[in-house]
Amino acid sequence: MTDIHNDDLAAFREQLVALLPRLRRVARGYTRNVADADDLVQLAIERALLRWQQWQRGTRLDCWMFGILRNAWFDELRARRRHAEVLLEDEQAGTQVAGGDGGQPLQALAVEAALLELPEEQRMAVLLVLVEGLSYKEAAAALDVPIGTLTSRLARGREALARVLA
Amino acid sequence: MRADHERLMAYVDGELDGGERAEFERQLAADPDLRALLAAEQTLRARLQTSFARQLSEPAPERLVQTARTARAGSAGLAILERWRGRSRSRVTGRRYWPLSVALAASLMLAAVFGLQLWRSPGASVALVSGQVVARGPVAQALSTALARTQPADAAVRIGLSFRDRQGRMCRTFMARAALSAGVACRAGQDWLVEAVASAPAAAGAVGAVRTAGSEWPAAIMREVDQRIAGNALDDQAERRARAHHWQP
Repeated sequence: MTDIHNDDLAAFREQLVALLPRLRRVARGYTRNVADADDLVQLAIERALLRWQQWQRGTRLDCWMFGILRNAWFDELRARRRHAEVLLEDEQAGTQVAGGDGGQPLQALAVEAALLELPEEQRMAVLLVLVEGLSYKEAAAALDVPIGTLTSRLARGREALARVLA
Repeated sequence: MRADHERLMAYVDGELDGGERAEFERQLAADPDLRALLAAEQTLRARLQTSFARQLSEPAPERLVQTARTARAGSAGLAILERWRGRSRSRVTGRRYWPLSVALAASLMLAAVFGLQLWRSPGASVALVSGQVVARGPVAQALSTALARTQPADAAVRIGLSFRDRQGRMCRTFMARAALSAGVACRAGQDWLVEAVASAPAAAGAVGAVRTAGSEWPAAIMREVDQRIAGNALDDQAERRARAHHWQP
């Protein structure tokens, strides 16, 4: 019994490791800041491990984790409001940010910039469905909204993107 | 119309069931406008996926891997601990311990952030044209007309170097003060393509104070110039000639 438990836990941890790139990508959608996104991912992993037994095997771990990320982000926003913290941008000054390897990264940059410019609700709907490939149902659950809300955010986000990127 | 659009999106996203799908496909076959809309949606989806796929190849920071492998795992009854930990971590102070790795890891997202500053700043703008970043407004104006030697010290958009790149194009570095952004733009036809952007330090001292040439330019931009430049930067005379030729190769 204990062995099974330990094997399960080890497998769970490795699944989290494998998910890190996608968790970071979604976290950046929330924070729009690399450093904050990594802190958010760390927090979400800690929380996920504490209640890892609540995750039901056979369901998608990515969707479960995206929900935890979202909750962690909203907690973080509340805490920031309490502490009146603002994002520090000073550490980023002078960092090389684009260019150097041709036109393709700039196209990607343009698309990413356009997405980041959307309001958060639309941004996250687009990110989870169009980038992460979640179904409407899964994305609505991860964002904790009804499906109708998700699809209307998705529609508005897409229209705005199409306008900007046309 | 709205309902139609939502159905089109649901189709693209694979959310229609068999019957709805078949019906929509019949509609598609009969309606070329709908097919054009479909193609646009599919393109958008593909562009998003390609663009964001780049982030997946970034190696995750070791601290996150270590957290996943070693952070305390819960058993029943740890809910209270979890709440406590959630609170204690809630101010996101961890960042201070990894500024270097964070700076190194910062890639496209920062580009997007600084790009946005350039976007939003009223005195400086760029636009997306066919997926390329093209200078517009005051940035384009300065790139086309300003001479490094004679521009006012307090110009909203300042020009640094002008040079010919290895593809033979005329390129210039620019700094948009209000956006705290600097970049490299190269001439393509009548447009200036923005090829690199970096954050520029906030102006020290009074606005309009004369600064030592070169010292304020982000190192990232100077590296971009080094990678592109063929020969030397243009001197004042060569710059005037290039401007007279509208920066054509």
